[in-house]
Amino acid sequence: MSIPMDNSDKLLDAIKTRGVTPKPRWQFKTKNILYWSAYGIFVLLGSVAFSIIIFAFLESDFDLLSYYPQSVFTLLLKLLPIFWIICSILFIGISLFGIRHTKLGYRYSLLFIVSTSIAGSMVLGVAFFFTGGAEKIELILANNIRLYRSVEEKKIDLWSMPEDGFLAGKIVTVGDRITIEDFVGEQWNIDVTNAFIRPGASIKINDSIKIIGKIVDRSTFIAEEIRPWDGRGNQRGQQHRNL
Amino acid sequence: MEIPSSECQDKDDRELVQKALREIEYFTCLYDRYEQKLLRYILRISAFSLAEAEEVLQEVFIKSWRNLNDFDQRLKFSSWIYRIAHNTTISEWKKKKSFGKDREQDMDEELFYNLPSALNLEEEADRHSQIENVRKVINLLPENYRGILILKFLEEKDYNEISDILKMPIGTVATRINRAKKAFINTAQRNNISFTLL
Repeated sequence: MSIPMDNSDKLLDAIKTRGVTPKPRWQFKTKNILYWSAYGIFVLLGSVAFSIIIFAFLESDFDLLSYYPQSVFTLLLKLLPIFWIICSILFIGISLFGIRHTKLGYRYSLLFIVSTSIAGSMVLGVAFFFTGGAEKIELILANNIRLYRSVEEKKIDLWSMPEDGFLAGKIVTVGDRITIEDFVGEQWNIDVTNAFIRPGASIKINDSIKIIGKIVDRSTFIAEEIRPWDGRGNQRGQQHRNL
Repeated sequence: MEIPSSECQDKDDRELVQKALREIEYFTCLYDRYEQKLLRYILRISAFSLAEAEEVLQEVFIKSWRNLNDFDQRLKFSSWIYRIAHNTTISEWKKKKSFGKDREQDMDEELFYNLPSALNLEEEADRHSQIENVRKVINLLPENYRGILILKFLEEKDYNEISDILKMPIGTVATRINRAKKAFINTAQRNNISFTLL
């Protein structure tokens, strides 16, 4: 009479019959390393996105919202770096996925992971911005991806809306009035009699300026405020004096 | 080669894992150590019959064997194997439920009798009614609440172990236990079963 198998023997029998062998350790290690790498890479990409967001915010004139005659929401969409905001959310999401799938990643709370990912991206992003990385990445993307609208291009679009009171271009002549050439090569006579000129704005031939004002006809514009092309100039300004 | 039971008893789980990776026979030590605990756990969180639960248990150990190199020495082996048991049982139960939805859960009577006091609740009913009532309430609870109540109050796992078994942060474990307790009381009330806090 044969001795009945106990359960542990049945288990060994099943393992041997099915030919089950332990998966090699390197497979699990590799998987874990890949998840950690995904976390690291996407925090890094998040920092690139964040640095471009900083760049875009500094380049955007958010105070224009109070001058815009049409829907503020439409202008906000033009001003906000929507693409990069979406990218940074996506990158943080993927980094979250990565760390959650590491061996002990489940032990960290969602709040902890999200806040450390955001903090990491922000710190690296600020460093990246100050080393000029954001601008360089922007330039590379603008030169190589046809559909990509750079911060600079979006800025040009925004300041090429004379009907809405925003005009910009390079100064061609300076006198009682100034003449500028906009980004499509059109020349405009600018009445600067009552214009508030921000100190950062240089009214010299070949300098680029931004103008807030009113369109009179297809080539005449009354300036209410003049700003330098880069930045807003500072708050204290001067009324137009004899240029 | 059969491993003498004294050799199994002398070694802790981690040592047995290392030994098993070299000699499969040592894996039976781990099987013997966890067989009854896991079988009881499978029966508690599902409504499998004993024979079905034994099949699931075998699957659990086969999966554990296949993934033995993934066992992280920073965890307790019991947490790791409970996790596999939990996931395998839930997955098998979900498959089975699709063609046996109305089946009553047939868990051990002690569980139903002891759960209210573990939850600091009491019911003025005789043993038989209490067992029936708790059975009814437990059956109505969502799986995530039922599982965590069983781990905490019947398997007597601490928060760290539950965190490792269910793969969730300790804070979430605490929150879910509280929610599960409330869900238990509310479900009981909705079904006209009144438990009072001790």
